[in-house]
Amino acid sequence: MSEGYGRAFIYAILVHVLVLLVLGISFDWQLIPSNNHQIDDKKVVQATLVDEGKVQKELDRIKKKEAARKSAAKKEKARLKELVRQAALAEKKAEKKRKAKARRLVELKKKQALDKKKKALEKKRKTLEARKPAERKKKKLTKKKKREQIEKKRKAHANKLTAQRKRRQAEKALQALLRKEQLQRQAQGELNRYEPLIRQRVERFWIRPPGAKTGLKAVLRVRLTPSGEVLTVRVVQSSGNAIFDRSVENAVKKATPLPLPSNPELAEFFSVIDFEFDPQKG
Amino acid sequence: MRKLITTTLLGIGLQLWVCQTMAILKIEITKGVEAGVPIAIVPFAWQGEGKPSQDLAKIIGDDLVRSGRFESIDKDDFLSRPHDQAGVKFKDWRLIKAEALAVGKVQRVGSNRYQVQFQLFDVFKGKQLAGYRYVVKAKQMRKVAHQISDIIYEKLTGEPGAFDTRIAYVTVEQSDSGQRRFLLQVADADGHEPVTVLDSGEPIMSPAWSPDGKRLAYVSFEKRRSMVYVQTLADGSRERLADFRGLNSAPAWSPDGKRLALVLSRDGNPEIYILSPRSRQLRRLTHHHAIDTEPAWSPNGRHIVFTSDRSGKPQIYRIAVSGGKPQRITFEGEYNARASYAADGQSITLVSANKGRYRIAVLYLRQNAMHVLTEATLDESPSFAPNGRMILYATEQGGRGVLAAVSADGRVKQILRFLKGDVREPAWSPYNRKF
Repeated sequence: MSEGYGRAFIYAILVHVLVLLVLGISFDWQLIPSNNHQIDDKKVVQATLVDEGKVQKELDRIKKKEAARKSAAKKEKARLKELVRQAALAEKKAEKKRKAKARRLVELKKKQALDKKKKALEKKRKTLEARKPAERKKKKLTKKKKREQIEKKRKAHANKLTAQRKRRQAEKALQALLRKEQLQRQAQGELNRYEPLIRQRVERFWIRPPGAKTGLKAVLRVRLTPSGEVLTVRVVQSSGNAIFDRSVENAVKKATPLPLPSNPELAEFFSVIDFEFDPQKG
Repeated sequence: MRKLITTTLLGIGLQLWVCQTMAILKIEITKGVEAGVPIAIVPFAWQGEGKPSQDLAKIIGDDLVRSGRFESIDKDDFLSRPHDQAGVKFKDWRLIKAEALAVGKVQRVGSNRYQVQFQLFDVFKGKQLAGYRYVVKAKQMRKVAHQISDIIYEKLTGEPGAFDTRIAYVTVEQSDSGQRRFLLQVADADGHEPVTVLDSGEPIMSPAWSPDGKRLAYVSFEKRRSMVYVQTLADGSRERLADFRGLNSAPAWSPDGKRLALVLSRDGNPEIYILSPRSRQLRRLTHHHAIDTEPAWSPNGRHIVFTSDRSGKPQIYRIAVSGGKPQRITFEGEYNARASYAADGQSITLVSANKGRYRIAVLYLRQNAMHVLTEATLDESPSFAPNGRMILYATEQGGRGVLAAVSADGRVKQILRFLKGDVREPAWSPYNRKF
């Protein structure tokens, strides 16, 4: 609003100055010659009427007047010019000032707006910031809760599975044990049947060293395959006599394979046998 | 949950029960077989020109089998025939159930010089038990073989072998003209390589080895009556030890070789005397009107066993060398004679007769138990091998006397067939000196 007014004011001044200028110039340009011409005419007329001295005096006075007038005009013109210039300068300055002011204003406004925006942002940020830990906490909490829930679920499931598995295992073990027991009972029967067969076979291969009755005794631990092949023979109790020990070791090794039940599950009960060689008892 | 616990507990309980009943099966073996240890003796490799003079593997196998402690596996059953450790695959020998394996080779290393190498393996343990190398002359081949037999025997039985020993015996030869010759001979323990020590037209009896194996005492009738001589084998030199009036017989060396027990009838009745050759000291040990004869020293030198018929029939008595009252030690059988000790002093071998059948028996002194070992009817003159595991004796086959050996357990008997003529009165030497 004030902007528009300011500008109009400046224009008004400018138009005045221009009119003044044009007037001044034309005045000066028209005035002087016409004046001169008029003056010339009058002078010419008057010259004829007035005596020379008077005329001269008049002329000088006119000339002086004219010169004074001219200088005054000139002065006036300069003063006007100066005035206009000063007005223009002032206008320019004002304009500049106004503009600067306007700019400042704009800038201020801008800045204010920016500041406002910034502030708002900051505020937002701050609120956001302020909200964040809590939120995070909250989020975390929910996440944790969720996780815990899942874990709980998983655990429950796993527990269930383990329990199931354990139960199944226990059942299985029980079954195996029952089966074993059954086998054991069967094996006892087989044992009664096979023990003499095994003993007879080893006896058949034991070349008893002469004089072995004189207190020699040895125990061998023998490992067998399910088919009765002798895997290892270890002297667990030596007779103290190398020849006697060798004779009993060789007896078992030569007796391979030993007669075992054909059912490998039953044969397992015969996988380790301790042979006690004690000729005194014979 | 409760079910689970119950099941588990039940399971554990069962496990414990099964574990307890699952104790290792125990089988007691009280009987074995009285058999020889099966051994495989691979024919020795011969590296040289021509053919080897002796089959070492066969000599060794025969030795071991004769002892009764071994069975030599037929070489046709062998799956391979290695000559040194590099070629031995134990699996091959386990398959044919050989417990021991002997391999070796003979290599000519000079004129009449041979290197004999041998190795003995435990088949089931898969390891070497012995390995030896000898350099010998051709005529020592049999001796090397016997020494190898001794090593094998000792490694596998834990007792010294007695194969590298000798026997002395009397051979009676009858010429076409009907004349009889009596030869005192010495041979290897297997009867090979006989050497005549004394050749006589009159009977020779009762050869007896000195404890060092260098001399023989014997009875010779070369002067038309019995006299006791001692002869050194190395140079054949001999001396007359006893030429007392009457009977001079049955010499027996004391274990220290310083004295001899013998039977003299210088006092009218056959009695046991002890003679110290160096000092010519003579001491009468028995005083009985019955016949006392066939003395033999105990290995510790403290006792003498002898045959006496003081109870009516011949029985064995024992008397302290220092003197005293003889004790009868045989009560089984109607006739017991010709006793001699085993080297361990635990048993004596003798001739035991029942119902006119004369057999070789062993009397176990501690148990006072008599084991009759032979089954013929005219077995005589038993003597123990120096290791006490075999007994050499004389028997009759096809109308002539032969020598035979029986294992001390009576299980293995073998007649030494290669000896020519009518052979009797054998005596087993003490251990030989080694090379």
